[in-house]
Amino acid sequence: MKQTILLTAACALLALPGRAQLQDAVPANPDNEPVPVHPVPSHRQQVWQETEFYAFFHYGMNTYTGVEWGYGNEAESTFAPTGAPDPEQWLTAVQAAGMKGGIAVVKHHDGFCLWPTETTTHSVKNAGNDYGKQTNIPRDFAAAAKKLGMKYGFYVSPWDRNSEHYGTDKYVSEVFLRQCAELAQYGTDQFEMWFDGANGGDGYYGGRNTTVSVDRETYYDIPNLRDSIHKVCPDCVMWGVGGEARWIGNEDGEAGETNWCTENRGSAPEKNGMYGSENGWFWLPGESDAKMTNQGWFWHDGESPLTAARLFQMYLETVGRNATLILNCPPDKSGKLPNATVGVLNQLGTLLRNRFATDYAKQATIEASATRAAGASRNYGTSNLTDDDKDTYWATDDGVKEATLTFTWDEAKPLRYVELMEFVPKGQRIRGFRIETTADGSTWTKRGGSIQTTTVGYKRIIPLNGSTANSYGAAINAKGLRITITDSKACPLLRKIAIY
Amino acid sequence: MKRIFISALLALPLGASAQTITFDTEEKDYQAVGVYDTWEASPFRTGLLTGNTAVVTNPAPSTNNETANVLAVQRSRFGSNTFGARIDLPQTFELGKEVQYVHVLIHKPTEGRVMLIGLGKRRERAGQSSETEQFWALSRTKVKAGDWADAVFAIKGAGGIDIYSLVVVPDCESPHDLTADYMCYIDEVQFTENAISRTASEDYPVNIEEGATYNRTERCLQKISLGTTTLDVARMASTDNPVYTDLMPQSFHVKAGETLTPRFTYTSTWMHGYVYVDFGNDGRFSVALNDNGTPAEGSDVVAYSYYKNKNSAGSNVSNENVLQPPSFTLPADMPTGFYRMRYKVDWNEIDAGGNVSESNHIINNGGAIVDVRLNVHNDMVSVYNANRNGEVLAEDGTKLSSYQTPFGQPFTIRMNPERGFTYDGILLRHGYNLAGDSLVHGTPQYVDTFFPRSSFTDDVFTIPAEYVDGDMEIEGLFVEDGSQKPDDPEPEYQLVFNDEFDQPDGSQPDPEKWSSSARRNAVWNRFVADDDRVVFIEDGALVCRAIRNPDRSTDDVAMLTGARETQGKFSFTYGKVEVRLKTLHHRGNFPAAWMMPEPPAAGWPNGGEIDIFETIDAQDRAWHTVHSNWTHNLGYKNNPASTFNEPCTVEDWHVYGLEWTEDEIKWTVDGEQVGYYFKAPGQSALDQGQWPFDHPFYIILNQSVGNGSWAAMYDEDFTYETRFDYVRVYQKQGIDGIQGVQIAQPHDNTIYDLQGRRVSDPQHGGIYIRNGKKFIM
Repeated sequence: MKQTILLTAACALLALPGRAQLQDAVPANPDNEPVPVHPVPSHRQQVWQETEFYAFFHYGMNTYTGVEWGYGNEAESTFAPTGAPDPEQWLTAVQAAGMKGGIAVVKHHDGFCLWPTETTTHSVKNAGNDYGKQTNIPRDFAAAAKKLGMKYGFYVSPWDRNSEHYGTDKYVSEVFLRQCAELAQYGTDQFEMWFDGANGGDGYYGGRNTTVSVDRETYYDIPNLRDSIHKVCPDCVMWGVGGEARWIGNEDGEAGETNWCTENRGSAPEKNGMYGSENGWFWLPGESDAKMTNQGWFWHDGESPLTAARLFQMYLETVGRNATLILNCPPDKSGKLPNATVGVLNQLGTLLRNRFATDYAKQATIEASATRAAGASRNYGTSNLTDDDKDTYWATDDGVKEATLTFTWDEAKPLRYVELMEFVPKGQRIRGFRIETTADGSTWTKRGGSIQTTTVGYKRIIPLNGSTANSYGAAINAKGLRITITDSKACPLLRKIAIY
Repeated sequence: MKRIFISALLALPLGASAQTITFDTEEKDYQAVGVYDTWEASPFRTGLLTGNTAVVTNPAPSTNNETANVLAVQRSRFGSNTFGARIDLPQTFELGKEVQYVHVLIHKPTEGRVMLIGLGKRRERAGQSSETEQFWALSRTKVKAGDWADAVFAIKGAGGIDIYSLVVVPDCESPHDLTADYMCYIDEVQFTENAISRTASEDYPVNIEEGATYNRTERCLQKISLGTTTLDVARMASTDNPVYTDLMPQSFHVKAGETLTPRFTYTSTWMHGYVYVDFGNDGRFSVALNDNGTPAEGSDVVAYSYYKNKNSAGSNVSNENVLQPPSFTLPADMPTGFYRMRYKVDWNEIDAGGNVSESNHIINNGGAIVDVRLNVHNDMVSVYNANRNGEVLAEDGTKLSSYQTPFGQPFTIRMNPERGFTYDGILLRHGYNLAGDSLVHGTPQYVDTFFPRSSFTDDVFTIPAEYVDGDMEIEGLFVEDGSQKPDDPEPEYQLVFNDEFDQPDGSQPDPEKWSSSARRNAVWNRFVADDDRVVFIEDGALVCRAIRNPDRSTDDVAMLTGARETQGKFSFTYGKVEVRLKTLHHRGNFPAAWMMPEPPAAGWPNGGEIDIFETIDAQDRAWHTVHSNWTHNLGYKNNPASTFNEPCTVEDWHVYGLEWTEDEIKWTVDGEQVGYYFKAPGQSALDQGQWPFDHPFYIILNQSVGNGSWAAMYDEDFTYETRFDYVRVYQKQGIDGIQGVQIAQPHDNTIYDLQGRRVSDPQHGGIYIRNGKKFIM
């Protein structure tokens, strides 16, 4: 019956009156470029994903009240830093850990603004001391980032438990949108704006002391907020409700081993964020937000940082699984990162540099079972894998979805990690791969333990011993390593392979 | 043209923005047509490619669309997955905060979902491009291939946004595998406030009328089995038994690759047994057979005992008197999931819908059809957690990501809230396809179940084995410290309405509180009579009966049934109800204690219905259900679970309770929770009528009789009887508490106290209620 149904459908199509096509033009393709696997990232999303690892700085009224979600009724005078808040110190410390940027909280749910906004009196203008009154986090944070050559962005909470207008259209147009616009004064090259999903609920609301619920799907008029922000800050990805990058679904610093950049809008990220959806209709890459300290997002008395080893594992489980990692480093009451935090960040930077120091792929002879025919002005050979050029890639011919890349050395090399990067501007493709090594050049052993080697995406790092928690054990000495792509949506495109 | 839609159109309340766009040349009701692609580098945006749309003659007129001219769009392999036909509207419409539905007729060669994109701008924002993308809406269901089908899109926005153009994406799958373009057709874009598809076709068709019953008294399909599991279909042969039985809440548990033996327990002989599994979950049982009789590749027939002298094992069958089919083996690579399975007793007919030939009609032959689910599971199920502000862990503290636990075994979890947070409980989604639709062609895939904080001991809770029937996704409901729901709200309740039915035997229930329900055409009220033979007080209880009508000369109905309700006298919003009652077992018994929305309210089911207690026939089982647009029209009965039943000796007295708050409804029997329904956290479900329970409801107590659709056909010779000992309604204590009560008689100057009792001599300084308002004497 199934066969019959298909047949009928086919007949109906053939019977259409002489109108097989409305046009049959085919765009020229002199470079033999593969067709994209849609959806694909926008330019803005590509640039954002390359940031990979960046910091989150939760600082504000809550730093001085010791709570995580202020109610909104805190006196402005409570904000009284014991020293001048120093975003340059924050960014310097995280740069040492290998991070390429940071996002500063400039307004949390309590509504207190860390810059002299015109939209409310609930801001640093009325802070409790001179350090507070002179605080302007967005200004100083953007300036420090530019000085250090880092990317910067802001967290501005849509939910505002202080504003008397919260829940009305007036709040959106005259408070929230204007706050976003004010932040653009401090720099239009912001790379990300963070819109927290926590929304509505009880609060002070200018003395109303009530519960306000909003329709989060429509209340903030995201399509037009996105349009306004992109006009001013063209490379600013709107996270979360903004709809350009998705929450990874947990706050543990962990992405799924299988992790697609594609997702359907409207799927709850807390349910599917770790994995994405293979056939999702939008490019919505995952960002993992995690804490490097053992208490809340804000600084709390008695907190201590996690160890560098734990953070390295987190890096493997996020950046190494096709997600970006935004790691929270909370400044204390003096407006600076505590010494213990700075120390761990340094150690983490050392781990990352040392463990990914020598890329043996660059010393290897590389053989591919298949390579795409070159075009007029570009080729798809294996040299593209190790040239550190993000615009070149190795590829196979259309329809060739399985391939093997073999790396060999005359002398055995001590190997621990393999890093793979797909050329994602043409879509995420790989669905399955396998890594094997050989000590003698003829017998091959599968590596990576029980780690699922399904997706690659923007970046995937596989510890060859199969353990993200103890990845830097004894090295595997190998004269050869081969990567077999076992399944791909279309011909695979690899931008980079590194072997450490 | 479009004749078939006229009646539907008349029934729909059209919004102010109502417009219909067709492509008939003489009445051009669009401004322009073209293509649009959300992909910025698309060759259709850079100008490399143009064209791809045109108004053409309808290439495939059918009963679903007979229009002469339609819009053709060539699905380009060079566009992105969101490439589509752009229609510039003759007049803009406002994207409002309320959901509107856009219907588009689409004819396409591939099955799949389609998308609607809106281009427009904020009305007051000068200089903003009217091509700003304002929404991307996926069609509510997949569009079938090969015929005109209605794609329905729910859209809404922040308000103040004008939509200038619509983009119909006829196929939003990635085009990378296409080697050629193909044609799709679009017609009749319509804006309504109604989500009901104009062309929906029936899933898993049955060739007989809905509700048809056996017409033979000696034949009956009593049980079906698979392996060692047996399910009851009917207790005894009766012409009240339906020919088609839906056992979808139940399932057989099997594993891929397993060899299974199906069995029919049937009271007669000379019939054949057929078994189907919809492997593709595509809404139909495909029945292709090879020449030797074995199921062909892609066939959904798994076993049959006889068809054209063969059976499903490919053997020649010379003895036609064979009911039990051969065993069958599931494919070893069959994915886990719930599949629709059908058992059919019929004569020499492979069609899963039943033999309806004149000589061997399934009804005349005493055949039967039963649908049930097949749960194809692994030894282990996967557990996921979904949280913020805390974690749900395995009992030993292991994180629940890629966690595996044995199928069908209890599973213990531990809550670990973050600093400053605690929890209200967990929401457990269990089954398969957890991130997808809860219903695939009407086959339930998963159920959402809530376990409140009170289920936990020291942050630990064991999920009972019956819920471990597939993958599990556990959402910890973490809330800020201090905002968690109180564990035990009981003490705050105060009585606001009650009737103990303590009047003298033979008297009528208090007319100040109760009136007779009106007789109408629904099953429950078709025989209602305001007659003291079917409604009276006895032994301190309200007795409602159903009896044969002794005199049809003045009132030509077969039965008289008793019903009392508080409509127009007492209704309330949120609170607790307790009804103590008992009934009598008998075929066709159909009593209820339930609630309906006080007028004015939307009609059924959109206005909602809350069933505190129902039972049917001779069941020892109590049912508790809510009905709404969400559960009934849209079919989301399990998302979350909206109906519950449990073993209960209904002939004994029990207290059936309901606790109803602004975001949840709990059912209890003798104080034990037996069911839980909750208000959806997301706005889109609410927009589709998931929670119509914020209005006053009134109470109905009645004895009615079945007609074979759920409860069996009634027995005219039986005296059905249900006794209601009392009804008590409680609301939260305090002055505010009475805001929920509505004394609905508009000009009734009766004065009530805060407990809802009538007061004849109000005291100076006391607080009383009159016409639904508080006043101080």
